[in-house]
This record gives sequence, structure tokens and C-alpha cells, in this order.
Amino acid sequence: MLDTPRLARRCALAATACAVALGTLAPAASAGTIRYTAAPSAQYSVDNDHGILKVTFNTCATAGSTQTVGFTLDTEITGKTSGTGTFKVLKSDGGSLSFDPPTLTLAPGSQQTQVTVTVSTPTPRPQGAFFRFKIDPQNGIGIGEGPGVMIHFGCVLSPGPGTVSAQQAEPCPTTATARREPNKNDGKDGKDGNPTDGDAGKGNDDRQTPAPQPEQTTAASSDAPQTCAPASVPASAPDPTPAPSFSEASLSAPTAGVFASLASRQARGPARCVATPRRLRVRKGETTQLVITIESNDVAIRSAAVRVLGAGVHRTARTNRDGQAVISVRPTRTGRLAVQSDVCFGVDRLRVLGAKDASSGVSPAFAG
Amino acid sequence: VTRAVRTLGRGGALAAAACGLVLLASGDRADAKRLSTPGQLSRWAFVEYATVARAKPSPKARPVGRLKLRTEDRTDELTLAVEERRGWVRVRLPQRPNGRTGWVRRWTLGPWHTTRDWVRVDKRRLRLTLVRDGTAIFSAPIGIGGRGTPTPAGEFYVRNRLVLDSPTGLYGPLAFGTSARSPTLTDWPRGGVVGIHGTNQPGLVPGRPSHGCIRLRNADILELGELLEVGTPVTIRS
Repeated sequence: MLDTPRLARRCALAATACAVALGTLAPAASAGTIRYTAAPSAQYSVDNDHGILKVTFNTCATAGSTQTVGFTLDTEITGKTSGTGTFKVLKSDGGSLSFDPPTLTLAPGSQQTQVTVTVSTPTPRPQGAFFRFKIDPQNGIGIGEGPGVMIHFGCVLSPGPGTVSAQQAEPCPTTATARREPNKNDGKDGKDGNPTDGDAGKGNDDRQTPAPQPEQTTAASSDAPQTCAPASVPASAPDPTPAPSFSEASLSAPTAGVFASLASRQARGPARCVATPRRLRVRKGETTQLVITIESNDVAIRSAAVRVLGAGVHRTARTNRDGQAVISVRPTRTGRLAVQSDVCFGVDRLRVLGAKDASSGVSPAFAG
Repeated sequence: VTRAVRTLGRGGALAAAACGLVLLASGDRADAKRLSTPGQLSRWAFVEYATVARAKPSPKARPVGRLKLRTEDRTDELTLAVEERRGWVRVRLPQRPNGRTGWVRRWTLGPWHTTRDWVRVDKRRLRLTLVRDGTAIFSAPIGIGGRGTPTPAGEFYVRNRLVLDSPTGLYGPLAFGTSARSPTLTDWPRGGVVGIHGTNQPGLVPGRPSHGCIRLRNADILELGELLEVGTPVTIRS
């Protein structure tokens, strides 16, 4: 027989012992060091499990735009003299960083300092952008450098055709207008006779179909300027590079909100950023739900435009926070479905099989 | 922690194990979902990937049969679902012994199709009845297998529909293949499938003239052909 009160008492004992053990194993307070904490934002994910603070943006950056990240620096200085600390950029691959304030005054004892880092990505880069920096404190004040901060963008796209220049950008009347309304056609199944409904296998869709405008990748800090257009604020770097024009940039890097024509050179080969289910069979006349993941440089891209075209299907959608777009298709004929995104060049293709048929005209061999 | 575990002792471990077993058992019941109730709502699907059916919803369970992509009559294979549990589906297998079911992975099947129909065959009264949503919408006299070649009893389903070139032939103008097999004609060509079909000898219906198939008069099979779809459950009662 089980003694229930006795069992409960033993469970409580076990839990207490576990908690004490875990508390003992917890690291001591980091005296004499610097800890970095990023302000939470839906625009990026933060990982600081291993000492280095990793900030990974889950949307593509737009070339010529800036993104800001708000940091909190917790400093614990064991010495008795105050000093200064400057930001040391260890890696700047695909853009530049600027800091506000550019120099920190570090006083003895505990201190919290708010710092805004502005990241500018002047040129489109399919391989993304990567930055790393840390505080370089003045010698002799009793503090180490600390592990530092990494900022990662999965991709940097050319500005789309709808992007306004920095001079045209105006402050938004309300916060809600910071996000553009999606295209009205987004999420609707294309009609069978849709003029843009080209056969993906033949690649006869020569037009660049503008996708719904991407969600704005604006500043994470609350005091950053907001504009009504997607991220197009000029970089505040000392020598900002003007945003390249759409036509130039689209030749070498994907353009935000634009799909490469299926017949074009950019649509050749598989799309490296598009992951479509391999085990899925799409059949003519059957509704099939496609869950398409968009990833670039190991970063799941949020708000990326995805298009499925061919075999009587023309659907576009945007990825969610996990980088996944869910599109239901019902092909009206056999052939191939072309799946592409504005994040990368190339096309992923899915074969559309014929409908299953349980009727036949053959003579049976029943038992009779 | 080690001390706490020791303190829990044998009684604590026993209690935890009992709790775990109860939770597992209730979880098994909770995640099982019945997929077919003949005459109300039944689900069937085409076979997308040829697969092995297993005795339990586990890849290590004993194989009990196979699902192929095509039937003996060169139509696409389909199967009737019975229940679903944790990504596995228990389906009726179109093979001997009659009435066998097995578990297959859900992804090996296509999307679900539903039917509210149910074919009931009464071997004693020699009648076939089509039930839709609990109401009989069609009934006709039938001919079934004789004493040496009986029509098997049990739960089956309609596998395919065959439109025949010569309406005056042995099987009449239309035939439906079922998942039932003749229990005696094991060496019959293409496995001895039990069909529901017309006849060129209408005078033998009703009766027991066949080798296991269910024969209807040609006018009746044509009327049934307007109503009956593949995937419909078939119950043959002795």
C-alpha cells in the first residue's frame, strides 16, 4: 500500500534538495566584468547562453537602410578609479556600426548604461552581414573587456521598387502606419485563368511580379525615427554609401519584394533559401498544403515573400516568425510548381502528379 | 540530490512508476481517433507510398501485410481507415485472411476522402442494401457464392469501379472490386477478388450460383453504379 502523505513529504524533500544543489552550482556574480543585454524586440532573436551576446535579425536588411539595437551594459568595476571605455569593432562584414554614446564613462561600482547601436548595410549581399564588437575599457580601472556582441543578418536585399529614398521619407502619423498593408491579392488563390499564371516548367513568365511589400525592419529602440516606407533611413555612418538603384542591384542580389522571372538567369538552379517538403506529393485536383521555410545563412527569415507558380496555381504569401509560409494549392493540371522567394535567386520545383483513379476499363478477374 | 532520492525510497519509486503507467495508458486512449463509422462517416485514402502494415503503431511491430500502389485490376489502390493514433493509421488490408487490419504511417496515404454510404449484404435474405446517413436508399436481390465457394463474411470496402466493354458478358456492364477475397479459390487468377457485378444469367438471381462474388441483375448494378462510390464500407453478414 502506498502512504500518500509520506510520499508527498518525500517529494518535497527531493525538490528542496534539488533546488539547493542547483543554487550551489549557479555561477557567482561577475565582478569586474561587463555584461551585455539587448532590449527585447520582435525584429531579432537574442542568444546569450555562452557569454557572447548574439543578436540575429529575423528579417532581411535592405541595402541602404539602417537598423538599430538598444543595449544595456551592466558594468561592475572593482577598482577605485573611474575611466572611459570605447567601442572596438572586431568584425564588420557587409556594413558598418555606429554607437550612441560613442564613449562610455565607467565609474567604480555597479553601473547600467544604455547604448544604441546603429547598423548600416549599404550594399546588397546575399551572404548576409555580420558584425562583432565589444567595449574596450581604459587600462587600470579594474575591468576586463568581456566577450562582446555579435549582430547577424541572414541577407541584405536590394531596395524594392516601392522603397522611397531617404529624402522622401517622412515620419509616420501613427505607429500603426509603420507597417505597410499587404497586397490585396496576398493569400487569395489565383484564378485558373490568371494572366500571370505561367507554366513553371516552361518558364514563360517573363515579368517581375512585385510581391507584397515587406514588413518594415526599423529600429528596435523606441526613440528611433520611424518612416512610412520600409527600412530606408540613410546610414548615420561617417561616409554613407547611397542606396543602389533597383536595376543595378537586382543583377547581383535579390530585390526586396520582387521575384526573379522564371525565364531569367536569376531563376536558374535551385533556390538555396527555399526549403520545400521532400516527401510531399502534389496531385492535380487535390488541395495540398505546402509549408515552405525560408532560410538564409542559417537564419529563418521572417516576412519573406514566397511565390508558388505553375500547373494552374499562382499564390503568394509571407513567412511567419519562424520563417515558414503556409500555402494551400490545388493544381488544375499536371506539370511543375515553381517555388521561389525574394530572399534568394533560384527556383525550387515540385512535380504535380496526375490525379489518382480507382476506375478502369479493364476486364476484371473476380472469383465470379 | 542523491540523498533526496534515497529518502524517497522504494515506496516513492513505486508510486512514481504507477503514476507514469496511468499517465501513459490515459495518453494512449486520449490520442486515438476513430476515423470510420459505416453509414455515418467513413474515411478512405489512396495509397501514396507502398508500405508494410504492422500489428501495432510502431516501426518495430510485427508486419501483418502490405499496401501496394496498384490493385490487381490496374487501378490505384485505396484503403479504408479505421482509427488514427500518433501519426499512424489502422487500415483495412485488401488481402487474406479476410478482415485483417494493420497500422501504417499517415504520410504513406493521400488526403482523406469521406463517404456517408454503407453497403450491407445479407447472405441469408440474399439482399444487398445501400445505406446513406442511416437510411436505406437502394436494395436489390443478389446471387452469392455456393456451398463450396462461399462469399466471405466480414467488414470490407469497395476498392475500384470497372466499366466493362461488353455489357452482355459474364460480369455485366459494371463491376465493383472489394477488399474481400474468396476463402477457397486461393489460386484464382489475380487472387480471387470478390466483386459486386452484373450478370449474363439474371434468372439465377436471387440464389447461390457464384464462386463468391455478389451478382446483381444488370438493371440493378447500373442503378447501384449511380449511387455507389469507391471507398464505401461493405459489411457481409452470414
